[in-house]
Amino acid sequence: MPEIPLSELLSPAILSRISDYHLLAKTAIEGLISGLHRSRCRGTGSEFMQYRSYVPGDDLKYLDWKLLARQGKACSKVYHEETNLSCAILLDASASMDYQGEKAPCSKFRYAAIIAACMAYLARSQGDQVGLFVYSDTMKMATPPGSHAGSLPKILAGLERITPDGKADHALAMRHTEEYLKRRSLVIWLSDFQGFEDQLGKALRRFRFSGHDGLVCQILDDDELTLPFNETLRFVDSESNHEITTTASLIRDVYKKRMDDFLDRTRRHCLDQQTDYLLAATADNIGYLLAAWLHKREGLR
Amino acid sequence: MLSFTYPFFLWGLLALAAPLLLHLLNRKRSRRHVFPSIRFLQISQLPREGRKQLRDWILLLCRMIIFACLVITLARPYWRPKPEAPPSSDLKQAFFLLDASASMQTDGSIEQGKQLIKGALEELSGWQYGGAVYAMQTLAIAPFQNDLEPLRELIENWKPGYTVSNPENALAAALSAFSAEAGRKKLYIISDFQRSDWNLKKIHLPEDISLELLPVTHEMRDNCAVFEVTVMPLGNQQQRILVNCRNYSAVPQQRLLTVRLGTETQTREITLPPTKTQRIAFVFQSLEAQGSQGTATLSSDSFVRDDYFCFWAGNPQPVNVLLILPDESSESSDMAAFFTQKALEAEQDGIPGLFRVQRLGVGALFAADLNSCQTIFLLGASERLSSNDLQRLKEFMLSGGSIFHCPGPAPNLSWHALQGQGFCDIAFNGMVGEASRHSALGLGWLAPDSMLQDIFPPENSSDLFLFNIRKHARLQPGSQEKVLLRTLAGLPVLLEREHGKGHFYSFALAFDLSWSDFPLSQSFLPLLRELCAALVPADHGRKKLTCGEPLPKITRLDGSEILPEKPVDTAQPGLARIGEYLIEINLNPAESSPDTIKTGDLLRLLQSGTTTAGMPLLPASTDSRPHWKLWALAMAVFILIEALLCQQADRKT
Repeated sequence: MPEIPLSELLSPAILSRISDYHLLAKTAIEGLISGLHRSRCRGTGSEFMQYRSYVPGDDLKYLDWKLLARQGKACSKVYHEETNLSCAILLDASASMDYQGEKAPCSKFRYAAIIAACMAYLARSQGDQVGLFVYSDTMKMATPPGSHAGSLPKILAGLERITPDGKADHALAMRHTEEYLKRRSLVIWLSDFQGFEDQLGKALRRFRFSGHDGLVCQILDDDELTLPFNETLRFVDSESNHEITTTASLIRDVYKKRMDDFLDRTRRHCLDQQTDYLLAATADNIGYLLAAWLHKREGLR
Repeated sequence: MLSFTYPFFLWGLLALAAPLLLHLLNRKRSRRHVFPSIRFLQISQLPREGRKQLRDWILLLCRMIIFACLVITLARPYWRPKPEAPPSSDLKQAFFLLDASASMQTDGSIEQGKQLIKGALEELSGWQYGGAVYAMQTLAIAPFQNDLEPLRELIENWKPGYTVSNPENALAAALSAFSAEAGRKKLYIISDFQRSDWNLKKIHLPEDISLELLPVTHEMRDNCAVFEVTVMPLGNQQQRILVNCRNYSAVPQQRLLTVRLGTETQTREITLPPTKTQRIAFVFQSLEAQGSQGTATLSSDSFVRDDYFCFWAGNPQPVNVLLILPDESSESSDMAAFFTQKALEAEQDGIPGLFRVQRLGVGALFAADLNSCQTIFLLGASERLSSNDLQRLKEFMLSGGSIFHCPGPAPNLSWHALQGQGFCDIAFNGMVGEASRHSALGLGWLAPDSMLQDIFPPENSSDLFLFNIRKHARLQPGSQEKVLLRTLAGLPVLLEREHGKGHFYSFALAFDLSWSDFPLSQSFLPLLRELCAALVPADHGRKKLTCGEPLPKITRLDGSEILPEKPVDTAQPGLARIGEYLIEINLNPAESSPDTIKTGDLLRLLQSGTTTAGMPLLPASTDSRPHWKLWALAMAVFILIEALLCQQADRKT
């Protein structure tokens, strides 16, 4: 059986075919981790795990002097890393997230749900607490961060049930989430942020003042980015149901300029609030996206 | 006023609605597309799209015009001058056409017709009345009058004849009778509308004449008819009479068939199967050599005129055969004429010879009427004929006559003369004789696909190949000559060539004992008689006419016309004799047919200008001008415009 390259395995076209989020997240994360050659259980906690041969450059603090004196071998002690991170995932399930372009492998919501599942799986595999908050005009699901064994299956099962509809009320979701976050947490926010770019900075500031760390992942379809249509269409707003009839080819330049401006403002608000920002199109490889973010986090540590 | 020769083609214009309907049904309403957010969209300006749509509309219009032009061209439009404004006078005219064909004799038809006219007249108070009785021609006419009496008199004298009807002449007479000033014109036709009578070709009713068809529905359900009698001589003065009867009804019919010949009468009860023809045979003793008058009569039914058939019995009129000989009497030509005449005039089993032979010198040929004979023998005379004589002989042959040619004392000149006038392409290559070959000459081959094969079947052909040939001409046939007989050496002896309806036969030997023993052989008589008999038309000597047909013109050998002893009225069945020709006049079998044309169809056809024969009528008016070429030109122009528009559109794309 030919080996499937990681890039293909983690493509949304393949992942979106897996309906079971647990399997999906496991496939993505373990494939990703093995691809990155990263140890999952290594750190500088208090719980001893094993010895390993001293390598020049290791912190001398971890050198077991007694063993060196007794046996003449230079060995470093390795401990389980102690984590105390709480991760909250905010997932926008409004009607605008239900859009799937003709060339896109999945809808924006499905893409966001895959990322959410992967993040949750990754957090749980590192022993962190993880919670999920799904919203549109109301809170569709609220699972506070927890470290018990049933939290991950609950989150993944919830993702399968939810269908996107309604108008996004980001402020409500933010308030609701804040109530559940008792301690410093990492807030991962997955949305297209349509119409929220001006309030985004304020919202992120509130999170930051509460001591939370943030990651904003803006998910858009290629159709939204490029407006590839040529014919005259009657566009219907998915959330407000307002209509406009226009020939896309004639307004494409203006549209793209406005879209770039929208993305730029969103990114700038994130940067202003020292929040990580990722722009994802539904055709982008999820593996690369996660890897890019993990590297970024590692670099910041 | 624009009119059309084929107006039904105009239905094709309905197809023009198809692209419009398709356009309306498939009108591209902009597709609905749900989009995450329309905040960044704006209404676009559509100047280019609009221009494209306009061009599409022009293209569609152009194509529709092309199609319309095509349809109108096929409908053959013509311009008919607008009819003058209807006269303001209050003159109203009604014309009645009364069918007097034989079929109207059927029980109650005339009475029914009179009732129909009576009903029609009740609605025509204050009109001018006219009428005509017609059969093959217009028999009687009552011009338009305010007084009804002339028309009543015409109707009273309305009696069916024995002929078929030809309504075309009567319609023409009726149309010409109408006054141009008449404000209202009505034409009534009272007929049984037999289909065979209504194969019109030239009639087109003007639009201002209102046509009323009053059909007489007669009952011919039990009708049987005698429609043909054939007489065959049996020898021993006996004749076989074959009577063909037809039952037109849908059930078997029992009839008494009586055949009378001279004073002898035979009657037989017959059962005729439905819609079938049956042949009944009688044998009579022939009483008169010149011919006996006979009748075949069926017991009467609703239509009695076709139950009677008169015929001539007796030996057939002999066929005139002309022997053309050189003016100077010679032993050779006399011998040839003697043998030929004996062979053709010989009696067989008591039946007189089919042929009557007359001799004529070359010098007297110019005065002879060649149409009075059927076959001509050129016995050594062809080289003496003038070019005028040869030309006349050729015309005789082209009109159906047959010429047999035998060489004379100068065979080279003989075929040369015939070749020069186009009788044949036979080349004379000298003579072949016993002395030159030192061996006996004789026939050795007979064309297997010719009628000679029937005369001389293989088991009976020995005599044909037994006689001696002392000398014969060596002939080279042309491409159009067919060789019927060859010698043992394979040289042609008898050649045949067709000329129009006639035939030309050329022998390579003369009917002279110095040439061969052929005239003495048993094959000579059957060969000559059967060849000549096969060329005689089937109706020779007996002319069968239908009632109303004119008498044929019959001439003597000198060209003078033979007149009947007493005047012959062909309008009624009967027998006549013109010289030796026997004339039979009987009812046209078409009158017996119960097949009628639907009056609705006829009305529509007469008014639309299409004939019942399916042939379109040419516009009646001489001022009518065909316009289809203009429409075809318009179509070509629009095709050009369409092509330019398409090319322009492609370039922009």
